[in-house]
Amino acid sequence: MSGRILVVDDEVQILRAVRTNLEARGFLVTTAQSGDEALRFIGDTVPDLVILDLELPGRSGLEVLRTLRTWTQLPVIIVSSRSGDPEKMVALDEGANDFLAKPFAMGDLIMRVRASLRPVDDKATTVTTSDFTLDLVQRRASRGGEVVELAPIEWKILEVLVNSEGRLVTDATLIGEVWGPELVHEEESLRRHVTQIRRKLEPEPARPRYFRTEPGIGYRFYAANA
Amino acid sequence: MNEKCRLVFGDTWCMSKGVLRVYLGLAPGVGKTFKMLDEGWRRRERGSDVVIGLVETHDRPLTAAQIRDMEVIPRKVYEYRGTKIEEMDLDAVLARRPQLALVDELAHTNAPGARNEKRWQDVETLLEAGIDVITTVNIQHLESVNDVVEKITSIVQRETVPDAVVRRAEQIELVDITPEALRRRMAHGNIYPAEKVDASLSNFFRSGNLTALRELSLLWLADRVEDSLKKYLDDHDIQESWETRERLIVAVTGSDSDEALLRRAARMASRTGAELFAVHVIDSGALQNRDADTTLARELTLEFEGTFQEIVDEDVATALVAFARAERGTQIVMGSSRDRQFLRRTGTIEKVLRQARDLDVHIIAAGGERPRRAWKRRKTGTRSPRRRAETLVVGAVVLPLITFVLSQIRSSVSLSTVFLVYLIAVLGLAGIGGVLVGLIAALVASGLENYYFVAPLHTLQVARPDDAVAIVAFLVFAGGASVLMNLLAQRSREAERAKAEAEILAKAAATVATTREDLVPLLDSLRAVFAVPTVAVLERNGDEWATELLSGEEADPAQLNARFAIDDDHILVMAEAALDHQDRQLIAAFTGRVAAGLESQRLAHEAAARDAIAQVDALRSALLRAVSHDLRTPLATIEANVSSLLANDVRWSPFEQHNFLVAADREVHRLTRLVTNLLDAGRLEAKLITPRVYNVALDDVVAGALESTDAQGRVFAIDIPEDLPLIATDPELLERVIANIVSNACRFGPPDQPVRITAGVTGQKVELLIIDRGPGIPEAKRSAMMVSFQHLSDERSGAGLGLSVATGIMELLGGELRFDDTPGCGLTVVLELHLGTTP
Repeated sequence: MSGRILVVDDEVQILRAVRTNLEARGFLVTTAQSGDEALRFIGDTVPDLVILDLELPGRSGLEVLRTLRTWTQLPVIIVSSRSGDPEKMVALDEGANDFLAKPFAMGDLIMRVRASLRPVDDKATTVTTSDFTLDLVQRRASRGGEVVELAPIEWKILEVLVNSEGRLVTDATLIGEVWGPELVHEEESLRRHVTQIRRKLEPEPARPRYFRTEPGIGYRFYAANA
Repeated sequence: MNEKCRLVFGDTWCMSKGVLRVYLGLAPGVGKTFKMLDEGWRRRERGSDVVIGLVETHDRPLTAAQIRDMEVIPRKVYEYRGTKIEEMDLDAVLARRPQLALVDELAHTNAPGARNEKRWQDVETLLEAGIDVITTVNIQHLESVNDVVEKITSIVQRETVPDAVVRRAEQIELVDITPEALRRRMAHGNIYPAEKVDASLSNFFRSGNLTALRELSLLWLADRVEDSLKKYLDDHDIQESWETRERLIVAVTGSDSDEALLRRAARMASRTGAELFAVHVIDSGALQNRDADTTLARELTLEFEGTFQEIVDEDVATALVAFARAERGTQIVMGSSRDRQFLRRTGTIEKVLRQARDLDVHIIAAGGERPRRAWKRRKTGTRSPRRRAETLVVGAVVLPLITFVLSQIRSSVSLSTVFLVYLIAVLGLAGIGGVLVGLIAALVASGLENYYFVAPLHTLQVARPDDAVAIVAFLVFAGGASVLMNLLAQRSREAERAKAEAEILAKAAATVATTREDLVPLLDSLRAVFAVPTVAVLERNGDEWATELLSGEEADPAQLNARFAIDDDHILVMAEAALDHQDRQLIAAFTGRVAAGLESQRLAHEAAARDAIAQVDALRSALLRAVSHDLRTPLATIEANVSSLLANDVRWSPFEQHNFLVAADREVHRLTRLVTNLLDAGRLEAKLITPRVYNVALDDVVAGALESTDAQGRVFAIDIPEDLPLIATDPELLERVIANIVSNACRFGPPDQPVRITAGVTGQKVELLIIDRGPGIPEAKRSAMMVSFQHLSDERSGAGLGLSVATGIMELLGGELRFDDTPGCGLTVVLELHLGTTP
């Protein structure tokens, strides 16, 4: 997989490490140390993905994101060291595609980069993990050779999550896809259904490996046992 | 010449003068010069002899093109301090004698050495010479609106033209343009060169400014600026300027003239938009104005939306001026009426005038009414000599009159009746004239009785012993009655005084005392009323009493003879006080007020303490945010690098592996430094660090410090004399101080400039200077830098903690850390260290 990635961070050490890692995996990397620099670069050459630190000198990451979203939907992964910060929710609302908290392991970043760069219309029909297999067309699920019964609404949730494999799917997106855009207050039943799915498919439902929760934000499906 | 001019100014003036025409603009760039040139051409086409005295094109191409081939009088060059300044050549224009001269920018100030200081004077000269002039001026240069413009635009205009000069013009034409159009013109670079455009658009050419200036120009044309000024400033929400506007302090005295004075002051205030402060200074030394009744003044002041205050002070003038300054007053208004004799006597007005300096003082001749209540403190038992003399004259008339009348009817009245009539007269005189007059009258009356009524008549001899007894009895009785009456009058006066004093105290106490300082005036008035040298509030301090508040001089505890309990922990004491029962009651009531004041002080204190805690909390959370950022940043780098090494989908080259490890290692050091500083900060706060001081060589300490500093590629220029004496310090702690400061210097200084470290002996101290060429720290921020975990900027954090720890350690070491400017630019941190002790 290849692609042009712009990494925006004011810490030179981080930029250097991220660049080395991404280049080692075949990506084309450009770096910027400020929001203005980033916007200048994007104005010249639109990259395939932006990794954007929220805390930047001068123009903040959030401002950069807002500016970008006025004219492009290119994937943006937000990185921030402020944990529990409402800013990341704001960033996701403003159209960021994914979020990664600092300090992060390089593997997590690479995984998110890959997931974000995968074409959206690249829909899976079957998923096979080391614990279960799903046939989204036939709506058949099996776990350790045994058939697992899933409710229609659970299939709908699975479809959304599996098709966004590795990517963050916010509660709002999931609810919109499953129940329809007008039913926004379904977090509680969404949570119940995801619990059901985990109970039926996860080897250890209390410590989910495949269907991960991003607290307060949404869910993420990992096919590989990362 | 023209009719209008003749009508207004008369023949002689107009016959000899040229006609002025002014293009008035709301801002630069509206097109005044263009219009002026346009009009010039129109006149020339009609056959006038037109020259250009001076036109400023400001390199605007359209304007320059408009000059075409019109005759331009060459400018005259003045040299001033090596610069060449071009001005209109007035003499050349005069010599050329055109019919019409075009002269740009009326408000311009000429170069030194020119014939006139201002260009408008040049224009007047031209007009005098009978040359018509067309000129241009911007609204902000008109003298009358100058200050308003300054408030609107916050730009000071130094070049002004008297309004009269412009008003004299036969025609004033407003070159009108909408603010939007002007801003567009500006943005297109038609007014100023491109590099100035952005700054201008956001400064003077803000559209709010332009709108205001445009309205102002229209108002000025309509001659309605004065009226609309207030509304104007209100509409444009120019509040700050109201603050900086006039503040008028009016001194009231509690007499009838106050009303007139206050009304005058209020009128002055409203005219200038000033804030009104009425102040009544109670003279604590003399209490001469105890008769003051300020109720009316107080009510009036409130009615005028002013502030009323009472101050007790011995020096009325000084107190008044001090008050004016404290309230940032700009004007003082005082009355000069007859009734304010205390002002006259102590020269208060003169003293205020002397002290006021920059304040305007207005003396208003108010009416000469008597004080509202004619009660004056008098020494008991004394009558004014004048009154006494008057009474004596009355007596000299009344007594002979009685004698005459009684002698006419001598046969029909008994001697006792005669005596009684005389007695009434004597008592009357004593009542008016006092005891001395009474005694004299008694003596004279007894003589008259003896001479005219007691046998043998018309001699001073007394035939019957009975009569002699009667006369003596009369004398004793009349004299005694005089004395008694006087005592009675004295008592009633004293009662009146007590009442007045109680009123003063009540009034003084009615001011709510919320601070310590508020309570002192209460004590002052108490001291003044009872005429004692000392009044104090003492606070219990274990078994001792400590002085909490003091009015008057410090007194020997033995002299403090009057004590009143305020509350459990406070007493009020007075020195050398001779108090009767009534006084004690009065003071007891007074202590209630003091107690209330102390209580409200205590509450205010607690509120302040709560504020302080809230502040500490705010600081803590700021610190937490800053520190968590500072901790996470190196952690993030370490994690990024180390996790890269752990990846199993890539095989890193040894070079790449090395880079990851170096980066992680560097951040581990950074983290270590930060954690050390955090721990130090905590231990400093908890006072857990004990320095171990001994004699060391400073260069060793510096070397040690640099070893543990991440130089970030900076070069050090170290200049520590080899023969520098040893210093007495804890080398380990000092090393941390130096490391922190040097690491800041490295971080903020430009990479190509070395960080300089020098040392030298000054007096009994050794000074170590760490000099960087970074942005420096503004003076105002320096103290904040040292006390808390402040950051100079959010972009580059971490410096605050280091400095704060450095300052803490230096305090512990008994040295000093201070900031200086590096000449040129940058910060110099000076560490003052102790010389080593000689064994």
